[in-house]
Amino acid sequence: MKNEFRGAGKVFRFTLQQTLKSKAYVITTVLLLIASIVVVPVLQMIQSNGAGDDPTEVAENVLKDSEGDVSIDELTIHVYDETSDLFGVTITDMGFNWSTIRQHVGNANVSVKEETGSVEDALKALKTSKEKEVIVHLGLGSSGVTASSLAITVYRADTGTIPEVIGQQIADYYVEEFSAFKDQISELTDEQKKVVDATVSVIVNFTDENGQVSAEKDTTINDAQYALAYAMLFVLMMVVIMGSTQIATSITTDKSTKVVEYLLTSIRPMALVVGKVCAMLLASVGQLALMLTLVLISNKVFSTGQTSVLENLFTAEVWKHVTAPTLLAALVALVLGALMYGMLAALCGASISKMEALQEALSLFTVTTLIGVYIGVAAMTVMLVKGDNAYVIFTELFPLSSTFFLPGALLIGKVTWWIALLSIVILLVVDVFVFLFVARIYEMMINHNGERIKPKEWLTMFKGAKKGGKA
Amino acid sequence: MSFEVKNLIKSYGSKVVVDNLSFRLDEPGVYALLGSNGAGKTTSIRVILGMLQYDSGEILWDGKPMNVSERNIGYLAEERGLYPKYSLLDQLLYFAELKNVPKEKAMERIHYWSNRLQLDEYIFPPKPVKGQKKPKSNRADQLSKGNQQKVQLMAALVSDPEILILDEPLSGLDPVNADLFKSVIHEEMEKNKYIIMSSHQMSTIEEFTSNLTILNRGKVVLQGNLDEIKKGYGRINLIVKCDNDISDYIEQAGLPIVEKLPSEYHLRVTGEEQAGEFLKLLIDKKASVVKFELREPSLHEIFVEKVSAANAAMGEEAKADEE
Repeated sequence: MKNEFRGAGKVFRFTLQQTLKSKAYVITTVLLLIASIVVVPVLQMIQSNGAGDDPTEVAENVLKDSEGDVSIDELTIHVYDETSDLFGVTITDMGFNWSTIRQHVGNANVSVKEETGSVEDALKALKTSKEKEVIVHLGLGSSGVTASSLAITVYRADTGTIPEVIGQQIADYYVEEFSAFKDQISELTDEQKKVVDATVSVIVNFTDENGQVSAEKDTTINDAQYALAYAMLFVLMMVVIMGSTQIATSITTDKSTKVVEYLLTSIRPMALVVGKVCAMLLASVGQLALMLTLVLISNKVFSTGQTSVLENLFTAEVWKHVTAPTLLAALVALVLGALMYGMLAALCGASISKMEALQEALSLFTVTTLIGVYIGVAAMTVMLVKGDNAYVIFTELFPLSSTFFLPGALLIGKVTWWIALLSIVILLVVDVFVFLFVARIYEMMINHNGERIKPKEWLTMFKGAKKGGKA
Repeated sequence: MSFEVKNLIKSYGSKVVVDNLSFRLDEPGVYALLGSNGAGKTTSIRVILGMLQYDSGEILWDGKPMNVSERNIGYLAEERGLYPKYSLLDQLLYFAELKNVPKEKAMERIHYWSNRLQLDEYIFPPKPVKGQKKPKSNRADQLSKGNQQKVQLMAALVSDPEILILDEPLSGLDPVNADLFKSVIHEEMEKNKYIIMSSHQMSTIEEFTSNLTILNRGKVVLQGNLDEIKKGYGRINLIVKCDNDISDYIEQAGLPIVEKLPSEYHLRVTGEEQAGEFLKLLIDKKASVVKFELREPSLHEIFVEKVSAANAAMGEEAKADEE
């Protein structure tokens, strides 16, 4: 087995050097870098346009189900404003009107009560309450010890009386209202202004049987978490698609130019494929690292408000789960997933002998990749609306989708450790299987000249691969 | 040291493409694998190089199973291959690195061979000087086919291999470059290399070796030392050139004409005795003989005869099977 990989490092170095020097890579990188610089000003324009939206547009949907019918005939909203720690006075004292929700809902039976007692006691009472009521808490979101944004948390009892979607709509309404209100606040210190300008975190929580807030049951994600996980998925999709296309192209080039004949006198086919897969994936990761660096620089340069464009998009609350272990786990999942896709792309490249057939050879691979991506995107939407469920767990465990979904889910803290571990183990097992599969048929494929070897023939080759002698 | 292939069999499905091939090189030198297209020469070479698995047999180096990754083997493939867009120097250094040649040593050899094969201007093009003509490109896709072939030969030689495998080394070369390649092969022979060469150009092979195997559709149809094989045939080719017409004398002697050129006849005789009788007849008839050459059959003739006979035998076998 050791012999199978001897020389992979040399292939890796040469492939990486030549890829980085190639015109195609340089041009793609330049285009991506230009896009990275432009994206921040564009986001800023979108954010500034959205800031003036009329909250009533959102309010029209408040407390309505998906068909637009009012689904709650009466509701009491208990408001606990605990923002005085930062501002000296509460946001409510500054003039924020919580009761506007009644006018926009058009439902006279919605009452809003501004409470002054302990929110902890209220949460305990919420569980046993027979009333249709929720608690809205306005406090400070935090990253470490420093308050960095405001957080609106809607608590509801875990009895099913108030649907989760209603809690989310209430929270969303108040976020929009606050966006309109914050410009009226004056005489703030820089620190206070930074907090007010930051995107408001929206959390919908349950109370458990004891009336305590049950963090475990709060599996929905907010907009900022969704944005981070989506960005992660998009980045991974780019790495996989760009890297895999380059891997397949490189292997087909070896075959179509007949260079492979010479290479195989020095190294085994598996060393060749492993060296190429690693080099191409690293080249793609490098491209994206450069992009992200430029996005960060662009964010510094082009952001004009107290808070930067990215801070508005990804609040500090979002990053609280980004720790060394989650980063490591996300990295492991990313590497294992990218290797799986890379090996499959290598097979596609080896299945043909001419560059003209590359697009056809990669079509099934591209479809497979997109299936994985779309399963991941759908799971994120499910998490945004409903939280964790069987579909989300399937997405976390299914190797085609976990490659794209798991790293983001880990970073926003919306995957349990045992699921993450199981998913990584599955990816590892699949990688080993793909590797053994590739090892068994790659040699036959790379020596093949002529028509494309179709995927169903791969299996026949795998079954028919016989053990013979070799010099 | 010796190199030996023993009872090698390679098949694709039910089709046997190399059938019980055996040969050996007991000392440095050239061994030739001859055969028409599809005879199994390239497949045999690929099996020897470890690119393909074989069904049975042995490939031995110094009496022990040969591990290709442990041997320093140079290979010039029949289907030439270079990366079209990469710099030639980068490619040669990469090929050398894969053969575990240190960079300094590789550079030394690349300089030597690029000079020897007249490729300096392509492999080490001068840096462009402002206002002067742009130097020649150092990429493979901008080289002529012959020059690409030379670079490919350099790739095979850059590791200073102990075993050199040349698959149709002279095909597609112009006479000047063919002579250059031949001189390089002679140079490697002088360095005591073990060289396996495949070709269907018989004259090329005769120049380098007497030890050969002729393959036809995977089977060995003739094997051994060329001089001995020729001796076995005897001197049966007679070439006669006269100033006057000798067609009547040929007819009188009952000699079959193999080929008639404008000024000479290629005749088939049974041996030296019949040739002597024919010479006596020409002298008696006062024919003005310019050339009278009795020689053994050429490798080309032996090859054509053996392959034709083998094909005919196969055809008969197939016919019998059908019946």
